[in-house]
Amino acid sequence: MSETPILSVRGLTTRFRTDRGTVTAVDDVSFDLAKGETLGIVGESGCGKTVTSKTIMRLLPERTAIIDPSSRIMFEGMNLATADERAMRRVRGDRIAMIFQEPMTSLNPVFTVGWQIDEALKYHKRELDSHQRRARSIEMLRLVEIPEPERRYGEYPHQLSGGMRQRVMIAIALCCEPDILIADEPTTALDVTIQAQILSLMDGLKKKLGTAIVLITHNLGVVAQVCDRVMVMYAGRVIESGTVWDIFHRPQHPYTRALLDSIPKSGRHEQAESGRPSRRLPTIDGIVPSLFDLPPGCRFQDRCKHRQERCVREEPALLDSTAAAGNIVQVRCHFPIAAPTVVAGREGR
Amino acid sequence: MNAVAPNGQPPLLEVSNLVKHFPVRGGVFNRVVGQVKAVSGVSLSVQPGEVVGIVGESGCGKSTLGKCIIRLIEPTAGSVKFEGRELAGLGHAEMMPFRRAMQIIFQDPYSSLNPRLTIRKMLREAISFHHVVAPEAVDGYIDELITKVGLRRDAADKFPHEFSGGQRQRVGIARALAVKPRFLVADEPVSALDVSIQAQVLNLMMQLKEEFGLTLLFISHDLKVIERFCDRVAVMYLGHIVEMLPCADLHRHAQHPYTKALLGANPIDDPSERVAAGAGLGLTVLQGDVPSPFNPPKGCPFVGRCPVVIDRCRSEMPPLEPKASSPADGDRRTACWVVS
Repeated sequence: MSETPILSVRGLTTRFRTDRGTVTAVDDVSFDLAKGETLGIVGESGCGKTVTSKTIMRLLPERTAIIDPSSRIMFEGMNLATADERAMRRVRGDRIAMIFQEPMTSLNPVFTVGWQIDEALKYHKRELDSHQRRARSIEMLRLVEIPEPERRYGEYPHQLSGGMRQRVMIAIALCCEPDILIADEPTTALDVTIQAQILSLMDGLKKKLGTAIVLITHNLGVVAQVCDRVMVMYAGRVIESGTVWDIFHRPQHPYTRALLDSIPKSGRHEQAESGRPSRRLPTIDGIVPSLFDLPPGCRFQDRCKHRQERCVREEPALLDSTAAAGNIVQVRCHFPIAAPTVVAGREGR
Repeated sequence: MNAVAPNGQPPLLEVSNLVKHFPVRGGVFNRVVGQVKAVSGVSLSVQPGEVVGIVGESGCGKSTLGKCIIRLIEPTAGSVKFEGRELAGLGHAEMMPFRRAMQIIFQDPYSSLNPRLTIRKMLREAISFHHVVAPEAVDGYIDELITKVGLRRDAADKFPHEFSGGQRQRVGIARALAVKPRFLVADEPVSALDVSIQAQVLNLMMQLKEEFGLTLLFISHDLKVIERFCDRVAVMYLGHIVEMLPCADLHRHAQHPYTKALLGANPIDDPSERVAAGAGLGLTVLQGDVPSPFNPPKGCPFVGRCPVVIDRCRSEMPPLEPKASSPADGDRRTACWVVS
């Protein structure tokens, strides 16, 4: 990553005021995003991946969500963490756009699809007149491969299927040609054949428009398919980050390793040689600790197979470690797994 | 379907030509204006001890099929035989022993447990109703059950809202197993759970399956889970089983274009499986969406999205039958005119 990143996040910390006291949902998260890159943020529910993205977009309610004043979200020389609402409005939708998991609830049911694309253009592309905006909206619908875009332009969200709604969301997000697209679980609510359509579409648009993508997901298969780099989060912390190859082939944090092991792999490689694999999956015992009641040391300690006395006492820092080919992997572990691992199903290849 | 399997055992469950249509009402007089054809003539047999997977996308009728089999929903037509006894047409009282023998685990552990009952009360109701154990032994039996599904003993006296999603699904499993069933329908049992919890619950189910000698119908949209945990898989599309084959050779011998598309649409496991740059993602991308079961196409249900469609597909539904090009061992059936 020699060129300057378009988005640079440093020490991002977001707290929530709740009835039970203040809780730190995102704790000291830092990352860079390069132009045209796809960064995956992976983790289980409650790990802080969605809060991270909403903090960048400043979509959290200001009354309850507190962004720590030391947080820096640098975008084009501006710190989005402290930017005022007027400045954010110019960024949001125009330069950084977002798509959400649930296309049903994120589209407005009482306006047509065309109106909703037009709205974004009306705010951000003042130079266009209404005819040009309409033409642009229809072109966007065509770009996201919606059949009969002229007819769909005048339809309401409920007239579209789930996959089509998510495409409309993508059309709205991309109509101003943003530099960054934040996609929060964009395919989780969709069927697998529709997921394949949406992922292929996003990949094609990324190549065509050069958009950088932050993809938030819990689906490691989707990450393997589309991401360049991966950041793994656990209980509000980044616990490992690196290139997708390093994370999948040489995970150094025990959590990353266990997470990769615990998903069933497709048998497309095993079956040819050696019958069926065991019906047991390796598991991660226990559950994620509550953010209200975090242990003093490493947050993964209760579930970790490699726990030692130091892990209970002292929380590890996120440190650089050199992976193969000189890539830097960052790991938050006192005792990272050193030995290269072989991903199940790829032995002997 | 075969009445007797190759191993000579009679099937535990035999479903033939099961149909479920839901009436759609509308208009001024609220008349029936159409039918949602959720399940259109499904035949399937399950051997004792077998785990059969049903895979398909939302709206394909897989959950309706599962619920019709245990008669949580009354099927429109067709027969369901359990241990040789025909269930269709049985009255409430006659169904009772079968209600105990056939249980279900639901997808959503949040809405399938009564929020006002402690786990102990909920379990006791089922156990006493079916006289599973002697009244004085019920409490001990509940404690044993709770530990079997991996919960702490004090969990029995808690309410459902006090548990996490994974724990609640363990309670759901305990509820299903409390009456000592022989057959279990698991309807998307792990889809609502986090990745690391999914593996825990799946392992638990398989362990209990062996311990209690259960037979399982495992309904899921996730082919990777089905492949790992089932012996055979039935692929459903719009109310029909379009292919049925052993999971062990899913990748080598899947013949139906929809099964192949499902396999090809699954994301890769490992970034090094990516195709060369510039060639897109290498995923199989089908055109269009799943058609509506309110107005299914004539002929083959897959006709609108199929990459290899021929004229005959548009007019006639292909039968689910063994194909000459499949290996002779095992039970493999495909419903496709193009596959010979």
